[in-house]
Amino acid sequence: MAKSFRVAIVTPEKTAFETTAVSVVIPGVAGYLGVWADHAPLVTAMVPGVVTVREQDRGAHAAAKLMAVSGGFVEIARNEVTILSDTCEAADQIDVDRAKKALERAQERLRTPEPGIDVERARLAAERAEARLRVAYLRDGSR
Amino acid sequence: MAGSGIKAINKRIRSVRATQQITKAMKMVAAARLRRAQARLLAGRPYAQRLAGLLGNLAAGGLGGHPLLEARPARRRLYVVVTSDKGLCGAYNLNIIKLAQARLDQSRRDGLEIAVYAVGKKARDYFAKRGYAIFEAHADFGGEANADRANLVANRCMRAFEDGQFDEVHLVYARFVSTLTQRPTARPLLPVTPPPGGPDGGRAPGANAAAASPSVAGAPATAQADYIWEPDRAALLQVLMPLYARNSVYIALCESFASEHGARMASMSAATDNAAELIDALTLRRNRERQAGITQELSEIVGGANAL
Repeated sequence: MAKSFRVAIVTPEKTAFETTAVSVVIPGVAGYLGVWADHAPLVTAMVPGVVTVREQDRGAHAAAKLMAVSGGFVEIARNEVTILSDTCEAADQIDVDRAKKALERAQERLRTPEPGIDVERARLAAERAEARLRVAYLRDGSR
Repeated sequence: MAGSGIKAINKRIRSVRATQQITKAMKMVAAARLRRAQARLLAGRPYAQRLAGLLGNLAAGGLGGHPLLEARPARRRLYVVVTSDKGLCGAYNLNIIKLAQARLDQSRRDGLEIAVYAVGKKARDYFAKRGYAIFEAHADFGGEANADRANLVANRCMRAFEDGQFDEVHLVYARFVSTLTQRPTARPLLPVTPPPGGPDGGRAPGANAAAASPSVAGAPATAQADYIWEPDRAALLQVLMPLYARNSVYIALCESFASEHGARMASMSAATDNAAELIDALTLRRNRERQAGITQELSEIVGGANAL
């Protein structure tokens, strides 16, 4: 059996998700980052994206858990992965319509950048909405 | 004559009983909201501790420049005062306001320009009435903390700080010690003072169960590990700073609102008990008066019979 480690996704309001995992994939600033047990201690900033967690005790072929996160930090130390994010949503907590609308709005703003709008903010909003939609769709489609 | 006295007492008892029902209901509402607020406060601690741990760790390696860290000579100081919107919660608001006013007046004596950021109607009304400059006020939080509200307040403060509108921002709120104890607390928010980076008591690995345990203290065991920082310390600090400031405000709101509901529950509980005591006393008086009436009537009848 593969070695496992603890994973927790913590938001300001609560510990959103906690489990024992075999592997986890994190949207780091420098690209997606795969973590297995006994990873070197690491702190990285995280961008909005999808966290993929392969849980222990679920068989090698069980579907991984997907979670949309909105950016923050990841800390890896002593086989404990702590993901600090403003939000964390699993597929069943995501409002697809709202995410779609948010994505359209953000893309519209990016296409026609008027003075006075924050391009960086719009880009982040688009990334967050995309992450949500990816999580929502991947749940429906069989992986 | 005795009859009308009894009638008046009955009316009093009914009125006190009605009041008692209201205070009892308020007590129960406050208890329910206290439970929620307390759960929220506890659930928010793991994040706050991790964040503080990370910041301490980063700070231990020397801090780069960040606008939110910049300590300037203080000339203008902003106080964020967190109170409730509604009264009937004992001395809760008064205690916070007293502390805030002491600090404000001290700052003014020290020759600083001061302003109040009022969270809660009580703070706004109090300081507006006494001619303090109100920088901003919210009276619609209704005793519920959430991340959006905290971000609203924090972002406003950070912008004002970075624009140089204020050189320091302080928080005044009630720390939640227990249901019956709230401690008015004032602490600096900006510029950010990083928590100490060393291991302090240290949590054991696997202490992610912090969410479930109410008594976890200190920073998480992030300290002293030899981390790889990605992309690098300075860039991480850029992201971490605003998060830390927002979280500080969030936790302060959680603490203060939990305190508010605790104070309200205690004071409504006392009011209910007082009403019960009053009802007992009034009932005793009514019975006594009724007995006196009967005795008098009897003696009148006896007297009348004897006269025949």
